[in-house]
Amino acid sequence: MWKIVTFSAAVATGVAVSAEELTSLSPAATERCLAEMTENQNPTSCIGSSANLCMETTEGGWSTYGMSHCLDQERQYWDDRLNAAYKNVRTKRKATDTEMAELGSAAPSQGDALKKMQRAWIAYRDATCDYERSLWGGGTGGGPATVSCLMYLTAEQALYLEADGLVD
Amino acid sequence: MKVLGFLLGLTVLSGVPLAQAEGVSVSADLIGSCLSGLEREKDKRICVGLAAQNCAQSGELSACLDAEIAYWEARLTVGFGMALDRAQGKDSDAVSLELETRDQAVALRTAQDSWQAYRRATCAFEQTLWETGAASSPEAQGCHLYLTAEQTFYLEAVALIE
Repeated sequence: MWKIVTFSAAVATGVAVSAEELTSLSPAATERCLAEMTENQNPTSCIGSSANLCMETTEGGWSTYGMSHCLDQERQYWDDRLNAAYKNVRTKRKATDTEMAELGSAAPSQGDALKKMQRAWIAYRDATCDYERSLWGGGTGGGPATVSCLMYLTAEQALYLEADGLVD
Repeated sequence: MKVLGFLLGLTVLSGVPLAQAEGVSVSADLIGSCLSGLEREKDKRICVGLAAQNCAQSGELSACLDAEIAYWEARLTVGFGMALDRAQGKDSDAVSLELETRDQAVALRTAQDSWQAYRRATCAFEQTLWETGAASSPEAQGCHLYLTAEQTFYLEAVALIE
């Protein structure tokens, strides 16, 4: 839920690096965190593990550019998971809709409600991360702050859509 | 990467002893003591729903959930007000200091409206998954409860950003 990270100190001291100098991110740290979770730990606490490691181990990882790059790589990882989870839920929910229709049920469409939810989530994600960018004014932290926000919200929605209850 | 929300105190808690709905009430103190006893890294969400469960030992679950939802709705309104105050302060600072305008207040209102729509659509979707399909089912109420509490934590955190 916490979309805001503190990186003002790092923003000020970062050095510029080009895209070629940055290694691409491995999601291993995030996946390891998720795999090693204890029962009463929330999986959302694992979000950002890989991006953090990327910033720590990449030369220039704490520059504005480096942070944005690392965060965006993990955002992409979660976005792929989100898309896969969404498709999975959609398939299951549409199958239920078909079954219900065959039974002559007038139950509201789960597939339609799912699509509405995801559209509303996209608008919420964008508006929330626009707001977080506004916290930084024209400052250079606005870039990484926005990407960080997108990464957190995307990950949370991916974890939500991966919940067993939505496909059972 | 430090997470900001956990650095913050829970200043809005005091002075709201009970939240009531349909003749039952949940203990705001129970929620408050759970939150204040949490370590910084702990997820505040574990404190959500405890008061309703406690209330349901003597009252009806559905009414207890409504009572806790009412508690978080009230706290959400306060949290939004605090965040908006902060945003408006920053916006007027920018004007008086002739800095680049940020329109934080506009962005916050837009974000909050979009969150309302997101909560409505998410809980409507979850409602279709349950047999009764009723908004009063515990599952649909739980959706409302958790999403409202999460947004409250978020707004309370951003309200305190320097």
